[in-house]
Amino acid sequence: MTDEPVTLTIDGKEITVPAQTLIIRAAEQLGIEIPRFCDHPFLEPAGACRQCYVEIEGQPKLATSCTVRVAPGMVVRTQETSELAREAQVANLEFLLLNHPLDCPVCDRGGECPLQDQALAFGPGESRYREAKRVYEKPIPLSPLVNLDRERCVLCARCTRFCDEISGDRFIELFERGAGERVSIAAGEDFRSPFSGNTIQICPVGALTSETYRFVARPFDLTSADGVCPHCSAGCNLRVDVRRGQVVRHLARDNAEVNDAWTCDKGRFAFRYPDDPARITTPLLRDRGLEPASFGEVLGWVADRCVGSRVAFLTGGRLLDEDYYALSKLARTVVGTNDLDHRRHEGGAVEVWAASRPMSVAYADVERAPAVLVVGLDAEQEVPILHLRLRKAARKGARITVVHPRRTRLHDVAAHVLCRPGEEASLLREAVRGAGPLASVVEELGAAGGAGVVLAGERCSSAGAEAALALARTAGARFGYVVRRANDRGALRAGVHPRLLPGGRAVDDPAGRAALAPLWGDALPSTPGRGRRAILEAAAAGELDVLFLIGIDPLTDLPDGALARRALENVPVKVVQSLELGDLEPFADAFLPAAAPVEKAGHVTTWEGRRQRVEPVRGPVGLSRPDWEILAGLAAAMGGDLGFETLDQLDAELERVLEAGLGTPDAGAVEPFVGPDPRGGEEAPTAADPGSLLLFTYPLLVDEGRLSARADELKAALQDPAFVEVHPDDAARLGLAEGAAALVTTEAGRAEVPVRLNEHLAPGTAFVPFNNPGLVAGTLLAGSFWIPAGLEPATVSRAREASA
Amino acid sequence: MSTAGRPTPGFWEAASAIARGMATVFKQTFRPDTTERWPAEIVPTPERSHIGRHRLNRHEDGLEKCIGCELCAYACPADAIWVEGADNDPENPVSPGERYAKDYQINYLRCIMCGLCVEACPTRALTLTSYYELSFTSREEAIWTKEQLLEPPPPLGTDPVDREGR
Amino acid sequence: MTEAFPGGAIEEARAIIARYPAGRERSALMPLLYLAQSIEGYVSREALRAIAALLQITTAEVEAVASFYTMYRLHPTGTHVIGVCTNLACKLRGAVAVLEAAREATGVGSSGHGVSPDGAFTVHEEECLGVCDHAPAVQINVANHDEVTPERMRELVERLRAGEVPTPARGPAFASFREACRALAGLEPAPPTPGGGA
Repeated sequence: MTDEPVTLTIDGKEITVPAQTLIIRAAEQLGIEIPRFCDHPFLEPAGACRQCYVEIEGQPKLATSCTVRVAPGMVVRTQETSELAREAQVANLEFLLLNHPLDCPVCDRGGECPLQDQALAFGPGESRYREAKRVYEKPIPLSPLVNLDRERCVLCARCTRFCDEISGDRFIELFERGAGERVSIAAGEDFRSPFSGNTIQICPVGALTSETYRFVARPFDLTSADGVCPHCSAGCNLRVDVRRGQVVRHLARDNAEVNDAWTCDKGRFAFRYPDDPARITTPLLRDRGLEPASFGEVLGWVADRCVGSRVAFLTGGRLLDEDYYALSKLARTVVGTNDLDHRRHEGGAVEVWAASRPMSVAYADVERAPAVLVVGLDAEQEVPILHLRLRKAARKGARITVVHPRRTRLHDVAAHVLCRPGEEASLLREAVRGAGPLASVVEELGAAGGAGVVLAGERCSSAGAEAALALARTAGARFGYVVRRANDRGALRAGVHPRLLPGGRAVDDPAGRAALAPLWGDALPSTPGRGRRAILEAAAAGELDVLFLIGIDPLTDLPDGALARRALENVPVKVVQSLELGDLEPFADAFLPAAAPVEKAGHVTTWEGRRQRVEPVRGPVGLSRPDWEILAGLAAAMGGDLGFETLDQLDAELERVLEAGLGTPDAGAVEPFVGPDPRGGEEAPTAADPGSLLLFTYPLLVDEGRLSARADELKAALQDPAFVEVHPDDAARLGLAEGAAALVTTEAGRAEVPVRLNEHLAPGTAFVPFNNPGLVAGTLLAGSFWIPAGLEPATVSRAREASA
Repeated sequence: MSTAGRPTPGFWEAASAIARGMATVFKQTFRPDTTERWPAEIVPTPERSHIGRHRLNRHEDGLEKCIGCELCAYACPADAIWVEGADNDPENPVSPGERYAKDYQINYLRCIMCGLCVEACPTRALTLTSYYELSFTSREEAIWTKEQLLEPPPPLGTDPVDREGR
Repeated sequence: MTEAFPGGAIEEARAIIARYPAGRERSALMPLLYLAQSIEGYVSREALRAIAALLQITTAEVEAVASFYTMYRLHPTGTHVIGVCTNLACKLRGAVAVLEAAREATGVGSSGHGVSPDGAFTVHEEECLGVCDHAPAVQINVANHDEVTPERMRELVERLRAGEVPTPARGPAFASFREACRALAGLEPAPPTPGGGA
């Protein structure tokens, strides 16, 4: 088989396309639209619906253009020039519609339905079928999110093929055969896949519909904008639909470079947070008992308290690049401090690398890689679209190895090395020396000749991530640092970091400060600032005057629940800038209402380092404003000037800083600059006490995070109450049984949660989800995402307490 | 050859056309006028005329014919109709089938009485009546709700204050 | 799992899976469905779930296969399963009368998944049995009988009732549907269990 381009003729027009192109795609390039239902550019050809018939010269019968690949000299005639093809298409549409209920007026697909559109464009117009149609019970809920209407189904198998080829979660299948064939789910099972919503979007009829969009709107009701998903760093391109000012739907936008045509169920169904009743859209001041005030008053009040004071900034991972840049500049040039941080995990030297080097690994590189090593990342739960790309790579033959304390959903396509959290570094170093379970992986990566990929999740210890980078260099593989939250990478790039300026230069590097001087002035603070943990400690010790909390709730978002509470109790002025107050209501002294992601323009940076433009779908609600505007206003109130008044000016400056490489350090200069790993060094503490396990945690996809507010159907479908997972051997040793409550005790706190046994967990460890209903795991942690914990049956502890 | 004193060819044709046209004008001028002295005097509209406000109809069993499909809103050139669909409770349905209109409003400040909505309705739920007495004193009053539209129009000439519970 | 594969059956199931190369375990799906059918006489919901768990695939994948092929019965069956082909060739040669005769002789009603009141027979319609040249064809416990007339159908039922195993047109004969399924799973006949049988 050669890869020479192929020249063929379609409807008398000649075209040259790459070998192996399907006729239907070649026709698309000529602008010839062949009707189709089962064909989808991101799924394998199926030829199930028979709608795309064309005539190929020299072949006795019509062929389906979605399954036949081009050949040199082929002469194809579509419905536009072949009466035979046209008649076959008309007949096939009439046939597909025989059992279709034609209930378009009550169908959610009405108005945006490929069947409706193509029946009008290519169909007979009139049916000759007068008999009774096939009737099924409808709609059947496949899960709390997806409804199935089998009467409308044309058996194109797009949904079942998606579940087979893309997500691997084969919960729906074609049952029976012949006239009885239908899409179905096994009795008593739920469509519990975090990608289930994609089947709704690719259904070419109204057979699969969304519970959250059921009877909500028609296409002509909607105002839409091109957004980027705010939930994780995957950067899925979304279409955000608004009806009468309320966000009613997220759809995935096609982008072959990022999310193909997919998004996860969280991105699709957790869209109600901007319209949450808990949202606050006016500035508030504590002086008046948290009563509404004007921006001018609140900013003036805050500015008065900031001048000459000890100020620190904590922020989350979901602002836009522009917001982070404004924050970074405000802190350095107006407030004069390096005490600012956005991180939950402190990644050490790899952060310099990530801040200075965009796009070292892109999705396409993952897809093409013959070998991939994934360290410290549960891709399905943390960056679901990366998970789909890894599966796509596996389908193309990539060998994938996952080093993680808990088996991930890649288990059917990847080898897993279960490793205690914090032990990645020694495992990886051993592999570089050619020993240990990962030695063969290094060989595979080396054999891939530069196409191999190493992905390190942010949950690796700093030593682990550095070891992964070193391994990638040894093997000649590409290295990617996978952060979790939507714009963690953008925050790093913009220098919302106590030691890094925008672009990755260190604050104590005079050359870096000099490079920024034309824009930032030459009076930048030069001593490294305090990180997240140090800021909280300083606050708790009464060493801070003003603490800014911008898009973050330190009580639930950080692994320092108890410390954060002490910090909030001991800082005189707490300024909250967010969508709502939530748990911070008792603490906030001033509140600044921020615009929601769907209300502001700007850029988001994916884990790859790709900057993507976001367009607002509506204006900010109430008095709320984009974060950068609030920060610029604060700078002005403090007598400073950030140097930009419009988003365009800000973007131009940001691009100048990032793209001109101002402050970007040399390629080789990735030196460890963090002292001892704040999470207890490179080796995890070994549990000396035999009753103790190493408890680790990370957020599961669907949790109690604030952007999942009111996503009730999503939570019903994919969320579990908090649990603690234990290896069966450890459980037997500790007397823990599946489903029974266990008392988990750490130095920071204690909690009672039901036990789940998981044989695919690194022995000696225990897992709790970070923020599932019933447990905020941050209250069990002390600065790190893992901690030694004692586990015992709750009945034992209760008995002991009763006797005491 | 002189043509002076002789009418131009076609003169008589033109003159007779003007005369016929003016005859119509004179006829109308002297006809009794048809100005109706509403509201002092109520003249019923022709029996089959549909020139007035809309009505949402019910099936004989009392269920609403409207299924909340929004096709009327789509057809409306004046964007006068607002529909919000919702799921029928199978135990206690509002309309037959899965879907009903949770909210239905027509803004008579926008409505141009073109009747395209009636043509678009797949269930004959929406029809026009001959009730033309639409006068409003506020914006809110001009937006008719589903409850109002479900009521049959009152007889013409009824005191507007008593109309349909407003 | 224990309900679907009681006793030593779970070992047999594992042995079936072991016939296939590592990574291709799902190839054992069809023999496992036969094995389940040889135990319960049909593929029960528990069996579908048990097979899915054994092969680490979803229950839907198992049910998709089990519902596609007509030789897997998803509802309880009698000791003997009689399939009468009512496809075109057989129908033209009088299959409907044969079907009626089978139902009448066994006491099975005309409803879909009927089992005769004594639990001895299930009668169902088949699509093509592949012997149109010997229509009408009848399958008894997976063994084909050619050119069956209503009289011969009644006679076959009587002989089955008497405990005989009628000789089919070709291939082996089985004393019951479960035995046939066991053979189709590629297993030796089960050793007779005291008090078992039927």
